[in-house]
Amino acid sequence: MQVVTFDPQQFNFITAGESSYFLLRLPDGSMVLYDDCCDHRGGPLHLGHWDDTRKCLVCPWHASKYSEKVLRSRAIPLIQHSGRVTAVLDTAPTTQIKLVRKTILAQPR
Amino acid sequence: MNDSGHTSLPVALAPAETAAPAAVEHDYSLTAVPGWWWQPQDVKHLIELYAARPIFDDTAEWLIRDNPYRRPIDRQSIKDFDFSQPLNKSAALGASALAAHRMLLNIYETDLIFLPDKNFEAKRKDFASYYSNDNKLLGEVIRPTLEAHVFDFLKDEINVTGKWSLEAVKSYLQSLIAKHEQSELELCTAILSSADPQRACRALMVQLACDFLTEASASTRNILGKYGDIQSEFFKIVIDDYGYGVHPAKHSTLYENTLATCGLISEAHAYWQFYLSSSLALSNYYHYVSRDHSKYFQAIGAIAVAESMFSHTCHKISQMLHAVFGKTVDTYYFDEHFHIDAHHGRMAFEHVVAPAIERHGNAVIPDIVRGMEELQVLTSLADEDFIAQVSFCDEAEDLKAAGRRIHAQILEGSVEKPATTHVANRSQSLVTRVYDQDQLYVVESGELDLVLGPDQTVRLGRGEAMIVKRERLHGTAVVSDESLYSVYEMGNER
Ligand code: FES
Ligand SMILES: [Fe+2]
Ligand SMILES: [Fe+2]
Repeated sequence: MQVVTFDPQQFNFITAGESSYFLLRLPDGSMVLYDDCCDHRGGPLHLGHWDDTRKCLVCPWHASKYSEKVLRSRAIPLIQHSGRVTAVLDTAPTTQIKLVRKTILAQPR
Repeated sequence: MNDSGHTSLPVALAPAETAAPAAVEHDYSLTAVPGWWWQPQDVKHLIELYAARPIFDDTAEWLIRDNPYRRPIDRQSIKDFDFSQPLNKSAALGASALAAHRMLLNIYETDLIFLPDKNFEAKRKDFASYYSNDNKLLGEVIRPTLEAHVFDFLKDEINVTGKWSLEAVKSYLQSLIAKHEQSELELCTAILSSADPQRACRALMVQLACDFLTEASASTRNILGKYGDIQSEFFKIVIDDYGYGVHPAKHSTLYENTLATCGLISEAHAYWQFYLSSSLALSNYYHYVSRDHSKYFQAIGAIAVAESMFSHTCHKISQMLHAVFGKTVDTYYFDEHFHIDAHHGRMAFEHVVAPAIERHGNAVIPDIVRGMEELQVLTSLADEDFIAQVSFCDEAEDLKAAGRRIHAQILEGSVEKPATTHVANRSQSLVTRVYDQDQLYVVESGELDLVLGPDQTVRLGRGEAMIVKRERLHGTAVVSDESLYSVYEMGNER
């Protein structure tokens, strides 16, 4: 396990070895950190879009849908405190972690 | 300066005072105005030159091993064909269509990269010749004539009229899919009821190899250029075909695995000699509408139909493969498409066809619907052709018996047919053919092989005979030092 703390204004995307995660602010304002790799064929979920009517994230490749409930229940352990977030990543202690800022197309508006 | 009477350069460059030559007042079409750019007999000559290129010559073996540039056309027969007129549908499986489709695939595929698996140096000359400007330019010059010859019949077959809307296209496509998904594929039924289902099944895999080993190459031409978000949606469909850049997941790799477990070779065009002209026609059609981008809307219509129907087709083929070969066959190519093409069908319609109509207006619909229809015409022609070839192969013994009977009648004079007699040494160069009429082969001396497929040969010895039905693909090879044999033209009565 590795614990990372960062400023979500500055970073919204984490790579940890082969895996990557993105920060998504849900419509109620809460934040989730989610695996970027779609369960179906590994499509890049942060490049998906938010379906406002169905309240779900849609994968850009073949349109798999991730409801708010699924996103919340399967998200990475995350604490928001005083404008900073702390994530607990299930990676080996030696895995190199990088913090990045990207455009999250999947972000609900 | 110039006092010899020739026009000097400054005069030639004064366009305002120079009357344009009459011919240029046509619509600048190089190919559509007969006799302006070249005469029909010039094209005929150019086609003969093209077919005479050494890489397209007959081969020493029936299987072409690891040399993707050797693609025989049938140089001997080419001069007998008239490519200047479009064929009608009833002649679409005939001898000139086969030659034209072989040439067209050769022409289109110079845009794709083929490399042998091994020993490139030994094939370097063929590689250079196939991709040379000579080959490409000559191909381009004859291409419109060949395309008109084999594809223009579709214009007569299909007429799209009336006031179409996106909704109408959608309902129409849905009805096609619904009907298709309820059908047992005739193809599979024919294989399962064949006298030799394994042979018939391999024959199908050989036909499909023509397209599947270069899967999506033709339609990938549609993702180039700049045309907005529809272009990116199109690209997504192709990402899957290319396995997201992971070679073992590339669809053509999956197909190689299927071929291997059916006991077949997966080198590109190893079975070139055994492609039916209807299989070539299907491959060529995707190039035909995807290379000439004025046919873009036809292309997306065809692709939407193909992607929508392929899922069910693959499901049936996968079941059939298991029924024929048991557990040992790798059906993942078909299982993958059963799954992913359910998505691709939807993606092609919702994200390519529908937005194209919304953006570019209902006037593009007739082209889209034409593409949908043309692909279906060619698909059913391919099914018919394949099924006829399977039954031809199944009937080989009956056709020998019938051949003997008819030959006896010819000998006793009750039947008269025109014949050509051949005296030939052991065959060194081989090419498969079809004829527009039934033929009767009779061996007077020596031995003659009639090759009906990559794994089916009928050997005729002295006094033996066999009928080869019209439009059925076969090759002949003298396998004794010398042979004397006759070929009788049986006409078209059934
Ligand atoms: S990869 Fe996400 S839906 Fe297919
Ligand atoms: Fe595919
Ligand atoms: Fe597909």
